[in-house]
Amino acid sequence: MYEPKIVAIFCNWCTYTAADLAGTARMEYAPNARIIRVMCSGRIDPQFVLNAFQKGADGVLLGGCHPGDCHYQEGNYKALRRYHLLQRLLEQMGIEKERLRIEWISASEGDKVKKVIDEMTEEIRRLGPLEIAETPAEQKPAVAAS
Amino acid sequence: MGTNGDVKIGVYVCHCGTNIAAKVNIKEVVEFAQTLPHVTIAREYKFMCSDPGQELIRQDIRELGINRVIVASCSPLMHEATFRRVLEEGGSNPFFFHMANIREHDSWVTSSSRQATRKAQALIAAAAKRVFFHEALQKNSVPVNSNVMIVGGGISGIQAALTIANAGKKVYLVEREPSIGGHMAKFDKTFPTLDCASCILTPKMTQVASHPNIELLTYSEVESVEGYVGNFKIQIRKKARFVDENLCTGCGECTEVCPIDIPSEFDEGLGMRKAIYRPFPQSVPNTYTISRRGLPPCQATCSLHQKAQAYIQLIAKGEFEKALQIILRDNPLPSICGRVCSHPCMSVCSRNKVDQAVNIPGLKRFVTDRLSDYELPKPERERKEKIAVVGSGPSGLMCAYELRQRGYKVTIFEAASQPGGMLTQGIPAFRLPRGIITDEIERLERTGIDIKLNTHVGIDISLKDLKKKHDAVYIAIGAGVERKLNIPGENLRGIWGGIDFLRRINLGMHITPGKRVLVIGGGNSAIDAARTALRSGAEEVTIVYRRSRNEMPADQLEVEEAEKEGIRFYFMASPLRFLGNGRVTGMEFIRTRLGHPDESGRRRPVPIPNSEFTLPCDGVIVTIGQKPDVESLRDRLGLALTKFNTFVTDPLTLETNIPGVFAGGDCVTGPDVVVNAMFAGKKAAISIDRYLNRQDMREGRELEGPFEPTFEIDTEGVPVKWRIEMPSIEIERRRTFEEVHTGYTPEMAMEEAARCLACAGCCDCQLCSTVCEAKAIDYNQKDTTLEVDVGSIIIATGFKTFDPKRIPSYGYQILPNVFTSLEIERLINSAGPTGGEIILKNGEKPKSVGIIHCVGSRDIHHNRYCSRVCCMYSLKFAHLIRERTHAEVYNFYIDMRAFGKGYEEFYDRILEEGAHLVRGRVAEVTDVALDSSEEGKLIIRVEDTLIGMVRRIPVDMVILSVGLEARPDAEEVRRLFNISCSVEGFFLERHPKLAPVSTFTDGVFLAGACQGPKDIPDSVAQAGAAAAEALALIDKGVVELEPNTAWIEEEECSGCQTCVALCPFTAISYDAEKHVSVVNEVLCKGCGTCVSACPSGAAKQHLFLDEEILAEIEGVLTI
Amino acid sequence: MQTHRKVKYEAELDPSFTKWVSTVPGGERIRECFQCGTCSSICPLSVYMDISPRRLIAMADAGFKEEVLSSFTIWLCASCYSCSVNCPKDIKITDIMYGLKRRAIEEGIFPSRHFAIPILAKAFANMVRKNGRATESRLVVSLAWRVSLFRLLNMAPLGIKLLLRGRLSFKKEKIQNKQEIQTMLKALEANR
Repeated sequence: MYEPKIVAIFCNWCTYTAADLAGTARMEYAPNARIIRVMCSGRIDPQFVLNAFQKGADGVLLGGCHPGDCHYQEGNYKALRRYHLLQRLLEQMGIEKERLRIEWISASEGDKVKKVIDEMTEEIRRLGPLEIAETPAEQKPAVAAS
Repeated sequence: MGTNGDVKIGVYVCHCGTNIAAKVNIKEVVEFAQTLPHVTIAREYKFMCSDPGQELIRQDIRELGINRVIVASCSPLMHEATFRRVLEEGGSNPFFFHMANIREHDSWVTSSSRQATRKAQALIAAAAKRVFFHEALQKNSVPVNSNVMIVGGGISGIQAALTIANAGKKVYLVEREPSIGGHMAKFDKTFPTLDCASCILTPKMTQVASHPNIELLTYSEVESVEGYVGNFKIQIRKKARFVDENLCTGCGECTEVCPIDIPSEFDEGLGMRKAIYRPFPQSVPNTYTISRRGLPPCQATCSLHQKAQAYIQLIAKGEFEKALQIILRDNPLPSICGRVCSHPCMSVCSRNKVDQAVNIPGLKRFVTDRLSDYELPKPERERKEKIAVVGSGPSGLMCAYELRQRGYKVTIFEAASQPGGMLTQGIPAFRLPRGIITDEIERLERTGIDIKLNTHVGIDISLKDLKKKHDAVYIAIGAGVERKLNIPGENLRGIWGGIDFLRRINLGMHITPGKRVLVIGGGNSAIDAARTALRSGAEEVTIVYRRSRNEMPADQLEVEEAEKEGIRFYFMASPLRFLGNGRVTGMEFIRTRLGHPDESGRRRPVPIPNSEFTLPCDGVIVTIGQKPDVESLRDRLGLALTKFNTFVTDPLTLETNIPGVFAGGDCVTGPDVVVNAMFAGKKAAISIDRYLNRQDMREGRELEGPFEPTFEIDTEGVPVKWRIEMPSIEIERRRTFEEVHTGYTPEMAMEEAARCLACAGCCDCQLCSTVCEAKAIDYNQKDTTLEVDVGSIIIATGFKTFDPKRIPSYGYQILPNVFTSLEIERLINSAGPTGGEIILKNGEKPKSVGIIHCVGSRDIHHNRYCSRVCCMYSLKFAHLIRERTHAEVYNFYIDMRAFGKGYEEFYDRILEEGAHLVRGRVAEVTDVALDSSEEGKLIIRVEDTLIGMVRRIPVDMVILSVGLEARPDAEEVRRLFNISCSVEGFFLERHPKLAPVSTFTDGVFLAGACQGPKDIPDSVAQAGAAAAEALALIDKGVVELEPNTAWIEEEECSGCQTCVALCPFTAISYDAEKHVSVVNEVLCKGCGTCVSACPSGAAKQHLFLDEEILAEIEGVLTI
Repeated sequence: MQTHRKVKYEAELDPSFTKWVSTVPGGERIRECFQCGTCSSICPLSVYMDISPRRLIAMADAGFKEEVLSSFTIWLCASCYSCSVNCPKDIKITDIMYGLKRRAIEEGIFPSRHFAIPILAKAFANMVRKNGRATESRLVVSLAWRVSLFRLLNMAPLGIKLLLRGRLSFKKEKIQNKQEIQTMLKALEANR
């Protein structure tokens, strides 16, 4: 069966901690999301998202603190702005908007991590793999840049 | 990116016992890791974080030359620091390390073993790609400030404060209430030893007060927190107590004279306290505090700021003399105002929310009538300047009084033969007896004011002369010129101008306006004229107004009196012309409807075509407004006028365009009420005083006039009690000019005054300062702000109890004698509202008591958690109540939680003593009796689950053991300190087992019930732990900051300054010379927002370089 | 005096019954019951029941199939929902009671022969299935016929009085298109 690949970029203080909490509570959820840690969702460069899709991700999940609760005050608002702009860009490239998702998850919401990842996995499974033509020089599997 | 040296990666896969190994196939993962580029060695071990595990890494660094390390195990939040240290010990830079989280994010959350293994491989592949780009970094150290701030002065805060202060460090203890002590100060005895709470708490409290290292800031709150661990900058607001802490001796004399009774918060509303109070006798500090919500609404909206709440409260207590003194402080004409004031105070009276406003003028009039031989104060010194006041109406009289009090020589020039202005000429005697006016004015004259009657300024003496002979002039000539309707027939006989009519009657002439009289107008003058007409021989009086009843400017109470007297009203009719020959016989009107608002804001009356009609009459009184008689001044010295023929003045100072000449009252505002005219007089007096002393006339005058009330109170639960009607003479007697309202008796006055809710708290009667020997009371005290620097913060803000109103079936505040646990503590406590007597609402001792456990706890509808302490304190009540009252006690529980040291033994003891323990959760408390034995009792219906039958148990008193909850402002507090809350609302600890007093924010610690419900032994223990954490930080002296700061490559920066505005910590500044932006490393917190915003990629972040993250993304997608 | 030994062996309990109860809609959380007794305490009819609601839930959860299905308790439930509203674990006891009622009917286990409540329920269901409506008078007769003719004869005087005054009618009530109801019911039962 087709297994979607989802890249999740989570902020350290809230979302990553919530994912840890989900782990401590032994909540089982779909293994399709691979979590990458940044300090703040404000660090998420649109370039990361585009690269992810280019390198084979079927979906990208961005995670940050609830509005008003950002550990660094406003980083999550910046992330939200970039997310909206990205969605428009992706739309023009023909990438379905369900493939990019932004979620606000606080440090105690381990169950939300499970719910979101399960939901997104099913959604992406339903949409099928993302077909993007790659230049011959960048075929999978990845080789370390050198 | 280049080769970054000769990269040799070591991968270490941890089993973590069976935590990872049970799901992830470690062998496969290790084999896979070995195949990754630049990986020199891949190993596995049972517990990488253990010593032998760590040694594996150190050894490989030494022997194999490993210069990049990946550990695939638990979360970096657990052990990143551990392994970085290992690298350092092994001789490598600690930041050449990355962790793959294959436990919390993989083995613990994935059901399929195959999937888990693949995911682990993907995460390791990503780590390997990433770590290739890691740079060698140095940790930054910043010094730690050795001061500590503790927020919350309950037992936890006190304990932590003492521990840290005894270690020689400075502590700021901030407490919101006027005294420290928290909830523990309310308790009587504590479980399981039955120690007296105060006995063990108060010595600690006094220690805190006298400790040289503790700065105690009570009645204070934290306003803002800036900075980071080791270097916090905190703003604290010290609320004004209006009592000087350093001077107050705590003698308590002030409470004896304070007239305000407020339900005591410390006694859970079961007892009363005064507005000036101390929460409990052993308060620390022992200083009194005046609680004040703000200016009482009645005082705020009064143009003269009369202290209405103060004198009303004194009347309620029978202190009429003191009440009079307060009235006279701001008003020299109280007998008049008590009768005719337009009472704006009543429209904002808090009592309106319950039933009707308190009759404030009626009470004032009661006092002045009863003590009518009062005198106004004489001036304390004399000055040589002379002031002329033109007009002896209320504005002129007030101005003259205020100036005279300041010592000036004042002369009032009055054109009429009697003083008083509109008071005498415009207000009829049945509302304001002439004798009252005479008495009031004579009192004023006795203070040294000279009134020259029959002296018309402009005719008998010119304004110019007046100005020459005096140092300042105040013009208060009022508005006495009537407006005319200007319709045909206006000069027929029998048509009067309203003011003209009233003036003649008030000056003693007998005029019969007619038998059927029409009064045109809708203001107070119209009502006065109509009622006067009725008393002058008219049989039928009708008021005709061109708008509707709602738009009438007249006082509603006056309108009601007019209706009582039989005066009729005709609305929505506009006059067209008078009919008649020689004498008026009728008037023609046209009906109107309301159109758009005009400049007064009221809807304009618009005539309806073809709706004319006539009303017969033989007299008409027209009261449609007045203008000032400026022409009578003749030479006005060039005083500017508005288009309404009123004087132009500066609203703040009442200066006119001629220096030294001031004007106020109706001649400036147009027709207005007495109290506003008096306000103008007072304002002018202040201006003149400043003018003569060459002081700034404008400074600090904004709050002189009336303003909106600043607060509203919650009036829920106040029983309805309508206003005591002002006694009046019967309708039949209302054909003479005797006064209609006869005034309250003392009993009525006290009863009416008792309706006042004392909504502002302290009423500013200032009686407390009269008895304070230490002169500690300072009414002008303001809130102050204090800024302190500390290195660490301990939050010990405590809890609140569950509000059992949320479970109506338990009958709290519905049935009598249902109490919460805190309320019972206050009843049991000998310093409480009943002196330690456990009694029912009717004063009797209960013969049976039911204690219901788990109120609000273990319940999905309220709080799912168990509140930990309630079983034990319920057993404690069982013991204390049996001991004191010998009542039968029943405890209703689901499970008995007696987990601590001595707790099970305490439970045994209670069983031994004979309390009835029934296992069953009570569903309902009811007063519906099924037989005679249940009459008058509270019946608890419960299934005794151990016996297996439903029981009905009648008791006299029910105690609800309410659970503990987070404080209602926990969300705001946590944002202030940048920490999180858990699902139940308590503050979130870093790890429930291994780090229960730390938070995710370094430098901020938790102690006590604010982190979760706990009893006193655990709170004290946790406080000690938090203190230890703080002291460890201070002892280390420095704090190492994670080097994940951002920097900007100078050559790549284009100087666009996009990043500068984005940084919430203002860490980025623009260097105008070099045309580049620069990051201040010390201020940078490492969020990375600027990095992702930089269009040229010049901004970069250590530990989170673009290359590193992109490599990680790529790596994670390879599997 | 006869003494009886009462021990319940695990083999006598029915674990499939336990599993089944948690599949009844509303009964998902039955395992979480901590036996507080709120349901029995608030139930207006618990004082008439042979097994209190709380005990019944414990027995159902442990697998005491026979005892549970043959109790009076499940039939006395008036569906006032007080228990479900007040349960601190949000267990829908009323729904469980109804599930047990249905199971009892299916298995034919009743507290006694000619137990009126399930007989009434069956008669009602059959009447509605056949006619689309229930005729109350006929329902009462059919119930009394099966349960106690004596009762019916007792009520006869009242019945006659009502008949004479036009307050009682034996006319069979039915709908048009009766087959539509039957089609719907067949489809529902097929999906079960």
